[in-house]
Amino acid sequence: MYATVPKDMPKDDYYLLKSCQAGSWYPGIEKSLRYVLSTIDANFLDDPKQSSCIGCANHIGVTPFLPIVALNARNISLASLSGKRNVVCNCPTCYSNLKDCKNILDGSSAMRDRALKAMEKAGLEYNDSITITHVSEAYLANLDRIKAKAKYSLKGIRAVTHHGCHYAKIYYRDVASGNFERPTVIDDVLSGLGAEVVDYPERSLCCGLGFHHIMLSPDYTRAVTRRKYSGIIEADPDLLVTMCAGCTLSLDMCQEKVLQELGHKKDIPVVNISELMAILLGADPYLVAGIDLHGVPVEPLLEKIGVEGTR
Amino acid sequence: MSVKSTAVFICHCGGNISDEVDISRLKEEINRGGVEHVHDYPYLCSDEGQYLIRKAVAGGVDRVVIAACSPKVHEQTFRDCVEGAGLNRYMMDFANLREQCAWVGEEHCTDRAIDLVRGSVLAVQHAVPLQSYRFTPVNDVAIIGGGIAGITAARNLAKMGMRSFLIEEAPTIGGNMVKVGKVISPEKLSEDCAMCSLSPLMSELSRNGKVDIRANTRVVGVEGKAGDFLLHLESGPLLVDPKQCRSCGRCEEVCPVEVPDEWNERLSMRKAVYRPFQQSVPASYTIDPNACTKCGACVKACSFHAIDLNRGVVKSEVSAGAVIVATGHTEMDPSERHEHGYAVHPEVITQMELARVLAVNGPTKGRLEMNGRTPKHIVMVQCVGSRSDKPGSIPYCSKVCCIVAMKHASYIRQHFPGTEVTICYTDMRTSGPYETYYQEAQKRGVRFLRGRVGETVKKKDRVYVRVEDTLAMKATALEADLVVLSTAIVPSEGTKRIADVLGISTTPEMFIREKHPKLEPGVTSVQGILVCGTAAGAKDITESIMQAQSTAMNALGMVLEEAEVEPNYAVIDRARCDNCGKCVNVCGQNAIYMDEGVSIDPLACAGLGRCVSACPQNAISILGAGDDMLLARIDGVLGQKGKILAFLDNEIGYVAADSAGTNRLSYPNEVRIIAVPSVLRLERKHLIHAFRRGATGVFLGDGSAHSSSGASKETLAEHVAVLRMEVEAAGIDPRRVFFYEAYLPHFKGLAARLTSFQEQLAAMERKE
Amino acid sequence: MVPPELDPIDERVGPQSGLNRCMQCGKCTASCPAAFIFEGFSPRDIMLRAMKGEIESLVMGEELWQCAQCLSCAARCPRDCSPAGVIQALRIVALRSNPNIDHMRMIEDGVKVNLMKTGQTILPDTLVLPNDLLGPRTRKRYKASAKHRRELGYRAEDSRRVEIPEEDLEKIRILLRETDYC
Repeated sequence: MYATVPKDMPKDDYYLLKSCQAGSWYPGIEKSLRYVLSTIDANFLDDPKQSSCIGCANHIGVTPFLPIVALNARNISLASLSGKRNVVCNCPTCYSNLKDCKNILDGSSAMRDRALKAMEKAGLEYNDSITITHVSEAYLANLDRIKAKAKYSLKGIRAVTHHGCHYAKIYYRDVASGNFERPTVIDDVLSGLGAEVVDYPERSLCCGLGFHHIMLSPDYTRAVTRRKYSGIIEADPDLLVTMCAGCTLSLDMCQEKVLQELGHKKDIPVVNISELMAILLGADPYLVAGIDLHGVPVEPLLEKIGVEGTR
Repeated sequence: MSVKSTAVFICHCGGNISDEVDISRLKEEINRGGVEHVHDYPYLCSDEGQYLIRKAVAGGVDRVVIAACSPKVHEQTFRDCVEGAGLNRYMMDFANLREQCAWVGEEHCTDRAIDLVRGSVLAVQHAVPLQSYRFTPVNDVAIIGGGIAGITAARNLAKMGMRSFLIEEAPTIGGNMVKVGKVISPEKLSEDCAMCSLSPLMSELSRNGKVDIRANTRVVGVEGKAGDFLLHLESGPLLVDPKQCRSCGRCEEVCPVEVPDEWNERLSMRKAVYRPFQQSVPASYTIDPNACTKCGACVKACSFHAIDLNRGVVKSEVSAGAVIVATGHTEMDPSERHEHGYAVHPEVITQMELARVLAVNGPTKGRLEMNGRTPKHIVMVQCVGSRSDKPGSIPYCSKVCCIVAMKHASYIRQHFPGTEVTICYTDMRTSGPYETYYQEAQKRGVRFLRGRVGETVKKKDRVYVRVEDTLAMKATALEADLVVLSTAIVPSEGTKRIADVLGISTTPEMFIREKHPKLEPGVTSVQGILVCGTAAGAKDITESIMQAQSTAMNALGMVLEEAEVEPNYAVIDRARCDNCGKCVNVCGQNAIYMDEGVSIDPLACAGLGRCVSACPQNAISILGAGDDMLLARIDGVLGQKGKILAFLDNEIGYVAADSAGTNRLSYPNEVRIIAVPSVLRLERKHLIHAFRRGATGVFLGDGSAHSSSGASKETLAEHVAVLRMEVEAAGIDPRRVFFYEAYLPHFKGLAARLTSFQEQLAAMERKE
Repeated sequence: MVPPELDPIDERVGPQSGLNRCMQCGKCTASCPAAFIFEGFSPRDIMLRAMKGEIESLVMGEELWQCAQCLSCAARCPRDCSPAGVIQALRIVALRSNPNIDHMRMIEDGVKVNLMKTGQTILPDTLVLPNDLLGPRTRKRYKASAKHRRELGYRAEDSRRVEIPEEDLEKIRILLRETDYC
């Protein structure tokens, strides 16, 4: 009965909000995203002026909220004034963090006043006429264009998906397809391209990253990825598709050891939705999607799909 | 002005009035105003006093003013007296010289008395003879919904000799209680057979000549008003004629179509031609038109020629003086609450499904068996969809789920030893005698875990329920082979639909809204339409029965006797009305409706007067509270310049002012009080008139929002804001209009506000 | 009631945190992955202590840092509270007063340096995966990531292909200074 909130998903005029996590860990995600939007002839702006949204430090709890709001007041204004007003986030944490900040800036509070005062000091004017979506929603909105230009299909591929918690669970009313317990944005994109998307136990569970946990409390990451994969292997998929660089990192890098412990012999390539879209549209899997940066080799999957030029 | 045929009678009230008011000066002033017949008497309400009045009327007086205590005390006494003397009872006016004059303050009492009596004298010149509205209602009652509430209402009406139509959409009456299997009796600490208590009532109704059961029937429209409703019904298609059917069951044997059986929560199959259950009423077989393939096998098999597959929907009408809505509830479908895995894992079921499993007439004949297995570890999940602000949930407690879960858990512990049952709860809500049943459940070994379940997952064919044992502060995963969800009680589809058909208000959750849930439960927003049972919100069986009984009594009062309404309701002048419909929209009582032009139901009208000011054609007036009378009274009470005019609503504000007097609280000498049905009755012209006649301020006191028939606070606030704006547009400082929300117990507040308003006005004068 | 210690820090400890309406049902903890891993960690209990104003003991404890910020608690809370949001705000208080969390202050400083220098929160060398999470093949591939990064046209020291222009970086620094960040 959580009716899916019908959302007017913008199809064009995108302002790319680049993610520092993606750029640091899987730059192929960002490169793929640009590749996809150019290939389907969607207008977008890749603005070098945009700063990090500080969302991850916000959740780790090492940066106070005020500077975060101020910096994003600037990012929001940049997008508003650029003419490309549909901010599309590469990372679910950017997505929710930007919405958090926009809410503060749209309201009235001491924090808003201080953030805007800082903007004034920096000679900047606050301007807000943006929409905020995640890139997977942009793919869903443009599914027809992607299908028309796709060189390969996912027919015969059994896929499972993991939607980022910060996409589904914070602005849970805004989930574009499905609901927060079971978001189906990536599912819809994949099945639109021919894949068989299957459910699995622990679908709504965290990826195990936990930001600082993967470094400082690896017990958490170990236990959660194990719980997650114990569910995933029941579906026995060919592919796990993510929407977030952080989830990709945790599920990709920890997989080898976890599957070994669980006694599951088959690799499950972990691919970000942008990388997968780029590859299906004919991008070079190495020089655009950067599959060499993945912990689990992606090549066996690409061969199944029929992608040429794998090493 | 000729006031020759008016007589004024002043009561001393044994000194209560005459000690404070200079009676001779008062008489002189009124005389000077042109009234010849001015009399005074120590106790006007005594027989001798009343004799004076009768004598005057006999002598040709045709208008009477009584200047005495509060009209709340003796108005009816003197109306009776006037009527007894041969005059229409509404040709009399009342001046309140005791509570609102003599008892208020020692100084200037006489001035106020003169003004009040003068106001009455001028007002009564505009009085016209009025008659009470009398109306003979249709005696029958229509009951919509044949569950335990509707059945109870029908039985009770029949016992009191009243006929009712029991309209049920399903092929049988009985409702949800048919399915629940067991009912708890907290005193006996036992689980009894629901059907054994319900079935005799159902069959009694089927034999009762006073109850006309219309099964397979829906209400599709309504016309008319309280006392005389016409309901449009659609029945069937009744492919089996209930009058011909002998319930032999041969049709069912030959029917080739099988569909899930909704009477068993779809856990078993039934034929397209079927009888819902053994004890169904009417006892006839029925054909599910959506499932039937019209193969004709049943037609051939029926030796009574009861079946005709070509019958269509039959339309009919019933007349009723009152309507009782008893359309009930349904269990919330938990399949969209993905965290619980309902409809994904066959091990997850609802309490109603468990009720069917445990029922001897259910899919397993009462064996504890699910998907062919006997569960050994059962976990019950409370508050699924209840007590939650999340989308798709309801915010309230569904009230019965704690008891239902305990009933099933205890029953299982008693009858299937070795089965473990854990109830995961947020708060156990077992009010009244159910607390002893709670203890009994504990004795029988039911486990209670205090924590709201997070999620249910199934891995490697094992089901786990994740929950925090909050009392032990431990997150834990309970392994279960059966998970039972205690889902929220939500309005049935029939309840949602009937609200729309009848035009009655609903709550945000789409239950039928009760007009005043505390003071008038069971009364809907439309006069003459009542509600009982779970159609108005979650209730247990006993509460539903109690409400059905009281609703039946209420309906009886509406249809049994001739209705009489005092002439203080709104009437419409059809010659002026252009059917714009503004009055229909503003009426808070749903008393105005379109019926060959605008009509007003005197039974429903509260006489507040909102429609009067909303009507652009001036086509509506309130009987006994016409403009001419009101303007004349304003003229009278204002007398000389510098007065503060206080309009107080008759129900609350005016009574609060009486209480202030009774408690000898004083308020400024300048205050002159006029009673109005409500502040909503007042228009721009009344206020402007008062200011032109020298009033320094207008005080609007209305507490009708606190009574069940009053206007809403929002409506009042909106109306006052408009009045202020209009006054300002006429060049008057809007601060000279003051609104006070009156409360009966806080009469001190009224006196204090009158005083502070006077001070504020005085300060404004000084500045100017 | 919202404890006064938290009030000025963060709008998210205001009404939307739910500190004035939590009913202690435990659905958050039941939905929390960390609660099933760290003995004694319970978002419900953190809410209870925050409501009682036990800020001191909360900021001195280690539970605050066990939450992985998956927000399942907030998504499922029947009263629409956000234990995770309360934890975020409490972490900022802890950074200022708990002497035992130098490892978190190191991250704090690292982020600060990154932001002032590049306008980025995370750079490629900010996070190093612990070896024992990785299997042997993954370890080998992980080691080669710097090289593959270059192949994609990204430098080893920046998360951006094109860096933020200096004049914009200057504005970013003003914003960070004007909000008392550094």
